[in-house]
Amino acid sequence: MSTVLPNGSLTQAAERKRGIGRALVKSIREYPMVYLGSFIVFVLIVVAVFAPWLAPYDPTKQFANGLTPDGMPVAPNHQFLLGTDDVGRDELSRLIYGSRVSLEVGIFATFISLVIGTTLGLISGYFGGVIDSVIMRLTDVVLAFPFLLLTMALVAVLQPSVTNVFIAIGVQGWGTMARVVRGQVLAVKSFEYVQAERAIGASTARILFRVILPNVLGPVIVLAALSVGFNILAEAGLSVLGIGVQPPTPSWGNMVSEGLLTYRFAPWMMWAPGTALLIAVLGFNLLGDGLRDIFDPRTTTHG
Amino acid sequence: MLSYIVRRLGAAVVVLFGISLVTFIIAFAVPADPARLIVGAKASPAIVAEVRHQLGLDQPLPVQYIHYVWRLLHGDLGTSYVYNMPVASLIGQRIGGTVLLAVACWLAELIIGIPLGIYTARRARTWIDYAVSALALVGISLFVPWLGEVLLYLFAFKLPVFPLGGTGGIRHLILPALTYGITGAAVYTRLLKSSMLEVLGQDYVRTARAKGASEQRVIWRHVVRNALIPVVTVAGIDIGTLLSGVVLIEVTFNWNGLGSLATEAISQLDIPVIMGTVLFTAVLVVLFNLLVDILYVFIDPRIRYD
Repeated sequence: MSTVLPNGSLTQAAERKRGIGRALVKSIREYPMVYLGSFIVFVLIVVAVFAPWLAPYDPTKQFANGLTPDGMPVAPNHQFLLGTDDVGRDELSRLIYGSRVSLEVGIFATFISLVIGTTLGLISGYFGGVIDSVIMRLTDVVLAFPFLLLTMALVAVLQPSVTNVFIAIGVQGWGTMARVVRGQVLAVKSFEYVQAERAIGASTARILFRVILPNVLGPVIVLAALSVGFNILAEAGLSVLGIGVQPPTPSWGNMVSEGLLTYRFAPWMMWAPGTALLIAVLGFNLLGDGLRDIFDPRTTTHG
Repeated sequence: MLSYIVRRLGAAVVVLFGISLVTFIIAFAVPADPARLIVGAKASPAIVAEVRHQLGLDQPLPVQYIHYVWRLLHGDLGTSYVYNMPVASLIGQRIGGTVLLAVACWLAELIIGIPLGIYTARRARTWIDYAVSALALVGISLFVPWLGEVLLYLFAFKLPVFPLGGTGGIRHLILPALTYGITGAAVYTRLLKSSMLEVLGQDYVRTARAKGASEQRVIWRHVVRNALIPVVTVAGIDIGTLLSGVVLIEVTFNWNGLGSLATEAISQLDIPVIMGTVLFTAVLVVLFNLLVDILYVFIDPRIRYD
């Protein structure tokens, strides 16, 4: 029985395969930041989704042998790979579960900002006049508050929980997005294809969402990626101020904040969560910056 | 020009009004009854009602808001439930520490960021440029309290060169300022680099070179001076980011200032202090931005306002 394919198609298939490989290598060379960023974000999502399977232990379980006889955290060993914290919980498990809070807050807060910012920016830029002035003053108000201080006040009033934290971050993170979208709309709305749509009697909603929106999406996607990183840091910042996601839910911010009290005798409690935060935020920043270089070659930030 | 300044002032007033509305709404949304917080859980309903009346909480919302703005205009930010003293004097006690720390942090990011920007712009597309770009990205991605913690561990605990936090003079300021400087410098490095690259391509730079000016003179007299304009704008306007960062630095380094005041107030649900601090810092940002915008009219003759 012959399994040999006609000679021609074999080489063709191999060549096509090599072609794809080569194209991939070329595109990775061209956009290393986007690929590295996407890879980090992908790993982060996998860790967050599969946390129960990946974590060696229950992140809230306090181990009897998780504390030394004199009540100190245990340094990294074969049972607790990243050591334990000051109440004898496994740091690695807390780190793995902590990715959930960071991602949830980072992504949902960005989503809220994105919806509010894009909608207001579209309306403001398209209609102009009084509507534009009102929306832009509103944006000025939101942008005037030091981000962390207003979030802090909002969360203090709403009571800290994952939902309230991302709502508080999301409802004031839209200012920059609204301004950017508005600017793009102003640039795009006088183009011929928009005029043409208007001339054939397209509805305002159609022009806004089907014609203009796709054309202003590039910078929005870039801002969204950068904003996820920013929001992850904002959530961690709230934890350090004592109003983030409340214990015993593990979050990287809470872990860094515990590290402030324990770095003198248990430095491992400080290294792990800070490094995790750095890698996660770096991933989104790489993605955002890399995409910006693709969408807008004029504003190259690197090289 | 005058009409520009007037319009800019008008916009600032509208924004200030909006800020007062936002803080009022947030403070009103507090689930806890302020009167109950003041008199304690055991007080009788009659006493609670009496205190509510004294605070004006039994009046319609718009009336309460007008009273609120009226008091704000007289510099009255309310009275702390915990300290039982005016919020304005509490802020007055703490503002000095925050200003000192904020200035130190701001200088640190400029001192680190600007030379790196100038240096890498002149060596664009070399390995050192890529290395600095990569470091800048890491700097932006660092979590401020964590970096502070690491610096404390390394340079105050392992190598006891600096104090382990606390409020004080130069020695106490160095680590906090360095922490903020490292995370904030990247913005200036990137901005200055791209703006220098843009200026380097301008005709007047070519003219300067053509007439035989030395490379040093071209860079310092022509390129850096012009490239610094956007950097100065950002440095002047970004006070909101600076204040947010300083709050975290204060908590990390146990520094006595507005941030630690607000954080303490939050743990005690001292609403007037929380809202007073938020309002005060927001007003500060608006006034500062206004000042920068107006100064610009005089500094940069290329900007036309009409």
